[in-house]
Amino acid sequence: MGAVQADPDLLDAIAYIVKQASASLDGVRLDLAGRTGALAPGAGVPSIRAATSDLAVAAAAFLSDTRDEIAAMSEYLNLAAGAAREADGAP
Amino acid sequence: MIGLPDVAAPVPVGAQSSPPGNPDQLRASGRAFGAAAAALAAQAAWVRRCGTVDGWVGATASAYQARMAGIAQRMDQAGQAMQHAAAALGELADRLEEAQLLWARASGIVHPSALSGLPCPSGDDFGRATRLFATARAEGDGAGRVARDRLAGVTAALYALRAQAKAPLPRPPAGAAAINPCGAFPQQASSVFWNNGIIPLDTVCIVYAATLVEVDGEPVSVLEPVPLIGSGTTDTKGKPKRNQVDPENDEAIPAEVKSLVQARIRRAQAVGDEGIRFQADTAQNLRVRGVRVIGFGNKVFDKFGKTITDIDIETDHALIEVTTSPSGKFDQSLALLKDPRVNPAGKPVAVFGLKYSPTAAIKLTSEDVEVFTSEDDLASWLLGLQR
Repeated sequence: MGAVQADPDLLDAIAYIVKQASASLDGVRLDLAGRTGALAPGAGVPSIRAATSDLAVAAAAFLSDTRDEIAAMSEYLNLAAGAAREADGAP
Repeated sequence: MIGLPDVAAPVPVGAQSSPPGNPDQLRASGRAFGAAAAALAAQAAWVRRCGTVDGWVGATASAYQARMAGIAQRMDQAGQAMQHAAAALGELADRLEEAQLLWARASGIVHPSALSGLPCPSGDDFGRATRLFATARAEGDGAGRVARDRLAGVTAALYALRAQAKAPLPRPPAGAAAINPCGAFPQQASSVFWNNGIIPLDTVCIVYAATLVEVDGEPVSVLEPVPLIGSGTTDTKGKPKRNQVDPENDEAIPAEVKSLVQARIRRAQAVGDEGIRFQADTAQNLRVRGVRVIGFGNKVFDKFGKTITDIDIETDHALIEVTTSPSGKFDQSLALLKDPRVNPAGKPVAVFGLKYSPTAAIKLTSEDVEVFTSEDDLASWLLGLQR
């Protein structure tokens, strides 16, 4: 049927890289939070104070959820690698 | 005497303070989102590259690839949105700076410096300054409103993208435990699972079985976790089915026998003297290597209840005496080898001792007793018998 041809070790290796991507995205989130947090809300412009605050929250939420999503895909690869080994009868 | 004027000078609208805001901080905020946008673009490319695995095909691989492509696309879109926010903040900074300069010009008209030598502002000057103040105020307010709307649009876009990140992940790894409970489905069906996007992960079902163990010569009933064995223990190729055997490769041993052996070994390792612990460690190491140990420290009695001997380790194909001494075990080994009450199956007998001397070994080997001073050699011999 040709359903599984990937090397489980390759899947595990890519899972590790994907996990690194997840960690890097968290770095982006922290960097953004640090930079914007060091500034006065809205940089002193009353009309955009709430807007910039909302934007920072939305950006952090997006980065955080995407980080988790990528980490989950890393797990997915690990499980797929394990299952491929199971199918091959390897330990 | 200098008196106060009868009527206070008129103050133009908007003259009290310049349009509020710090352009430098706005630009810094814009740069923060710009940096995040650039990082997101790089990360998106990384995720996109990881989204394809050479040689991995099928429904599960397709689900992975589709999801990773979706993530990369969303990261690109989020990066573009953040770049838009950076631009909005930068433009706001520019417009605000212009408005503040305008306000400063107006302020200079109505509040000439004493050192400038300019005459006091006339009524026309006040009128011009008033218009400049109003323009500056309108420019600052307008720039703020535009930026606010643009930032709100970016925020909405990010929330929409975030909602997609919350979409259920492709099955099935997270729910693998429910896919083949207790390894119930035969391994031959695995291709059916794979071709339907399901990873056929087996689960191990553990049940507790009451077994009798000997504690200080008294039988004690204990509950031991044992795998729930399925209908068959080998696949079509004769290999053990995974998840239906334990890592010690002793699927041929009845659960109660295995539990008793495990309990005795554990007890010996915990409370035995040096010799008993060595015996127990040897038995456990053999089990880990795949030797099927079916007895540990079993005593053999005659018909009157008198102890004939004890068997340190019994596998399904051999009897092993373990010693920490450099010699001895001669009579006991012969009893194991030749007494049908002790060894009714006529299993070969071995003595294992790390320090066992070659001289003592000659005496035993002349009686067809194998002698080993290396655990590796002992395990190889036992596994050879097992095969």
